[in-house]
Amino acid sequence: MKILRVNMTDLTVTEESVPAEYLGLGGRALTSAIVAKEVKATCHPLGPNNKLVFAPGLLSGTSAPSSGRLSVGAKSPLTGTIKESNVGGTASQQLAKLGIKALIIEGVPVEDKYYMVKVTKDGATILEAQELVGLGNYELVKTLASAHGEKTGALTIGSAGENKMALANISAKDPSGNLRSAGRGGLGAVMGAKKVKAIVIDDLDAPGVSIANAEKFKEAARVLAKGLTEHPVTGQGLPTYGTNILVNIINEAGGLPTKNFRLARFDAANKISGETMYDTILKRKGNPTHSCHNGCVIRCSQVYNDADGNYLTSGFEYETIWGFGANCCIEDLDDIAKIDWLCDDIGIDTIETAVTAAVAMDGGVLDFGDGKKLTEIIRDEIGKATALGRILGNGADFTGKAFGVTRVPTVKGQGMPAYDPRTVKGVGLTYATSTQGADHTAGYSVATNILKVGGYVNPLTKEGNVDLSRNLQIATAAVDSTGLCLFIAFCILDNSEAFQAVIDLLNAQYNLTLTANDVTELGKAVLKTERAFNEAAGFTNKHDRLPEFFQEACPPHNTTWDFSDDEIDEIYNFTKPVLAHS
Amino acid sequence: MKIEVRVFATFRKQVAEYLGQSTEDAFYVELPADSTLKDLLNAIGLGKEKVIIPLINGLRQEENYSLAEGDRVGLFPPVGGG
Repeated sequence: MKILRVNMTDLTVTEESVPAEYLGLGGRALTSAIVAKEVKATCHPLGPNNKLVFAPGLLSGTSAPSSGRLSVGAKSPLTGTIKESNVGGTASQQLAKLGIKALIIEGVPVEDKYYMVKVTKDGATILEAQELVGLGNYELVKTLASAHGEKTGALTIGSAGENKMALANISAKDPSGNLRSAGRGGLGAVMGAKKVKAIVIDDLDAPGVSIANAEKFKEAARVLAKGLTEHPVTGQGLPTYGTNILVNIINEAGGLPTKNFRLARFDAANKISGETMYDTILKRKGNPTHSCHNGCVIRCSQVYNDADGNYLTSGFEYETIWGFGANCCIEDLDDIAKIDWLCDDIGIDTIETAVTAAVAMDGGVLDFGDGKKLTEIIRDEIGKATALGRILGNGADFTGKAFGVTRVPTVKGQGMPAYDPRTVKGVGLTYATSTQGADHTAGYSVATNILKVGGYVNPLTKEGNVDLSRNLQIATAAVDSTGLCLFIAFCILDNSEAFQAVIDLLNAQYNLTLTANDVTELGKAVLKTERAFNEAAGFTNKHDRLPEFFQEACPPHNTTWDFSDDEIDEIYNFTKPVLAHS
Repeated sequence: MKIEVRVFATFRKQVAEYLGQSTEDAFYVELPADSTLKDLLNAIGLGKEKVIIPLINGLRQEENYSLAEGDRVGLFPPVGGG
């Protein structure tokens, strides 16, 4: 295994052996360790001292089911915190098979030119790529496939990344040549600042991943795959309906943020629901069950066609549909699908864009419910980086300030996802305290609050939610380090054999004797590292708070955000206090 | 008493076939005054389902929950996402 270091200032690549301290790390644990060690926490995220780190998970590149997730880390231009954004596609497995534990991109070119990085079995090379400037992600991925081979992987930025917008994501090519996104935190802007338009990965004649105990590994992989296939959520719900199955249940639970977090039920929920989407996909001969990476047994992605049966978008997720649907009051699923395609092509995070759009609606830029106008604004303003586009392109906080809007649902500058924190309190605590800014995946309490997975904690009251959010944040930091999709949690929280199989996989691959306790300790260590970085960047427990408008009661349950500062601060009781209470 | 019911995901087809009516939107079920959630499940053909997530007026309830006139009941098989 090796670390590839690409220096964009002097345009050199160095190959390094993996230091002992990184040997047991992968994915998020490794990106965060490298960023924390090498990036000055007070640096400008778009300046020469930030670094962009790609790391496959510990199990990526193997036959372990659903293990092809890639972690991307840097200091975030959206939040100013450390960031790990997690994505599927082919890149994680390809990098792992090439023996690359991490790819670090550092510095900023002296000349105003764009480049691409090509990674092969022989290492990495930096190539000039002026001809790629301005291409949208869809055309870019096709162009790269023609030039470098259909089977090569690609990590790319669209126009938003080139324009260094805080909404900008990094796209990852999926096995069908379509796009997945390392969406959150504006990491596409970091890649754009380094003038890297694309990273192409060719794993031809890659050495592959060595497994210390192949028999044990195979058996553990079988047990995990069986668990995932047999669990009703990972074996039936997600493959059939995708993540958008959540619209109706979160709506019924009274937790679907609507009209910029004014309400928690959307009258038109059924029109944008997973059930409607599934019927529409079948009618139009799309594909409801599609993998974002090879070897995934959950296959929650899908291909959504237009009314004429032509490809419209894929990886059409609940968060996207909630954001442009309920939160912006847009009722037409086709309008939302077109917006999703545009966001992927321009290279912007759909969650942050949707939260920003609703803030812009409150600011009078356009009306709630106007999907056609929003499509135009994303394409012609954000996509073309006009003055308005640059305001919106820098996220919900920036847009709120520009238009004098105080109803801005963000924490640490990052837009809040698809669950109202007043009615799904466990996830509200995650939004408040996550090292990443408001992020649902960082500690997905929704599973236990609403979905009956991993027990039950009442979503409307305080009791049990602090422990729930803390435990899930720790577990998530560990899962995000393995390369396994976070959705395996739906299964392993209920199935102890499948949970043990994850530990067995790690032990068999690396010849270790880890226990469940060691995995928890890994999760805690990741969070401690991230929190220490944030502290050095100037963050304190005073930043672990929700915006004050969440003290308004929200129908239908008319609950408020009612945790005290002391209660919130209990989440990170396993780290030293960031700052004493004043 | 009249109960407002919505069923979701795989339950839509299942309940539609059992009741012989569309379940795409909310429908109403007439039940005796002292009925429980379990009685409702039996009445719409979901009595034998192993795992159901029931939300009554947006709140999780158990099968012995006593229903009241006008209750809004949503019934889900295990689902997940995020």
